[in-house]
Amino acid sequence: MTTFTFALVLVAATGIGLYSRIGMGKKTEDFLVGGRSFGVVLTFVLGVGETYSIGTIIGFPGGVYLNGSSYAVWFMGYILLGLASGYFLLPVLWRAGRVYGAMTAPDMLKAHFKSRSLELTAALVGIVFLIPWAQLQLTGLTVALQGLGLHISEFWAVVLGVVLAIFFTLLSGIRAPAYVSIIKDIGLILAVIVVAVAALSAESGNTAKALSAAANSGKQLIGSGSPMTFAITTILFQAVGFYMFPFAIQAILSSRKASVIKRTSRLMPLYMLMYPFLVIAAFFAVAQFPNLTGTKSNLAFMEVAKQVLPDWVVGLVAGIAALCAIIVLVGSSLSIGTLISRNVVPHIPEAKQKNVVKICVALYLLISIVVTIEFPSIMVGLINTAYFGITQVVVPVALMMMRNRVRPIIMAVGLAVSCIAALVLFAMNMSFGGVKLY
Amino acid sequence: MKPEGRSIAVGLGIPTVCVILGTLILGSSQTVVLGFPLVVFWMFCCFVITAVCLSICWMVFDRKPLLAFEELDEVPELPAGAEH
Repeated sequence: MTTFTFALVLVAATGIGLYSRIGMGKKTEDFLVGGRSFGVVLTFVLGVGETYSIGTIIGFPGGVYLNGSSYAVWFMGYILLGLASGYFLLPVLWRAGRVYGAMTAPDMLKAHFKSRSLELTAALVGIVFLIPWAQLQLTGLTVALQGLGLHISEFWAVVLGVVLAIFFTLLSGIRAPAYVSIIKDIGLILAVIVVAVAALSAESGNTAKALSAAANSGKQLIGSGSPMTFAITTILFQAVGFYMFPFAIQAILSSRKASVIKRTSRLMPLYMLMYPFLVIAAFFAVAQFPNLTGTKSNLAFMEVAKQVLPDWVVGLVAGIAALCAIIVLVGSSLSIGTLISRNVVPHIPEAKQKNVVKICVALYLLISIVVTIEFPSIMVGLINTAYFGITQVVVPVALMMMRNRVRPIIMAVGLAVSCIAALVLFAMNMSFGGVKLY
Repeated sequence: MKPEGRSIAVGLGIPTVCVILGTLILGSSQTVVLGFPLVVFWMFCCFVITAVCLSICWMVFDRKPLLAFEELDEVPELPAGAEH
């Protein structure tokens, strides 16, 4: 029954994906940025769809389970301030995209600064740091499939996820994730609420007391030392880089008007009202399954679902979680393809562009499978790794919006050095002025 | 097209102050509200505060000038500094 309801979610998503092909144009621009024709609803849905990945439904409760309030505050804080910054930043980016006929941030930088080196560096940064993002989705997908109780190996779980992602990408480019996000977003909220409410009303032991004990545990205090430094610095750093993800920029360029983006952005924070329910699920896991250590903490949300819900609902929840991963994988894959075809190996004729995009997507997903299997990680850690590099792109983008005299080659070198420095500091576990990269 | 200062102060300034100061001040509080640590509960409040601030920005500062601009706008302007 669990497997049946899981499959049902994916079949419904496929139906919507097929429906999204109706009225689709044949140009590359239609495939990658929806012909820049999306209105309020699709812009909102695509924006939300790309923002709330499986990192939210599976990774967030796991992080809170393992690290307490400092992770909850960081995760919610950076998304919230990122969304607020988007209200101001995105219309300007959208405008630049229109003026320059751009589909990516490197497109804009190339056109504005007339610099191939800056374009190439920004594109490579985007590609490299989208790999941990795909790893995040695939790790979450494995957790969702494990939640089904299927004895499927990690390898086949990630392969299945990748096959589904390729299928949705080939359906209709950016239109498929936009349309499928409708079912995914409604499902995400419902799944989170159902699990939390079921946990609250569970008869196993004294749930209220257990949750209260979890809320009062020492982990929930953010002391003045390392946890507080982590929370504050990471909120600010990642809020700045929130909309620098290639798929986020691509989603914005799909919009019809700047006013559509502003009207959409102002309501985005309300979607975050699902987080109280995720925190409840995390606290329930703390109380009921105290022994999930290391990467096992990723299982916290699905363990709660399995404990408090009937099998067929667990299947639906796992299906929605898998859909979250697939949608974001599709968005990331399209971005990778776009960056490679337009910015790394440009001058490809329009007719060949689509094929190049598809080949590059397959390669990107293949690398992601290998990384996921070879380097298992705590999901929230992967979010941080992606931001180490993606956030650096904000510097040339900000300089693009100002009158400045910085030479493009200096920006390109700065971009490359800052990404390498972040990775070195992270790999060597070094502290920089009291701030440490996690 | 560029956002004005007052709009940024309301839509970005207030939420940033709420999140950062709230975390610094309430992070070590042992108070529990509706089952949540106070700092976590405060973050939930910030969701609503931010949506209200951004809605004020839209209705008070940005809506009229942006819609008027879009109605007149035929040829996209270059962003500042585009001549570099």
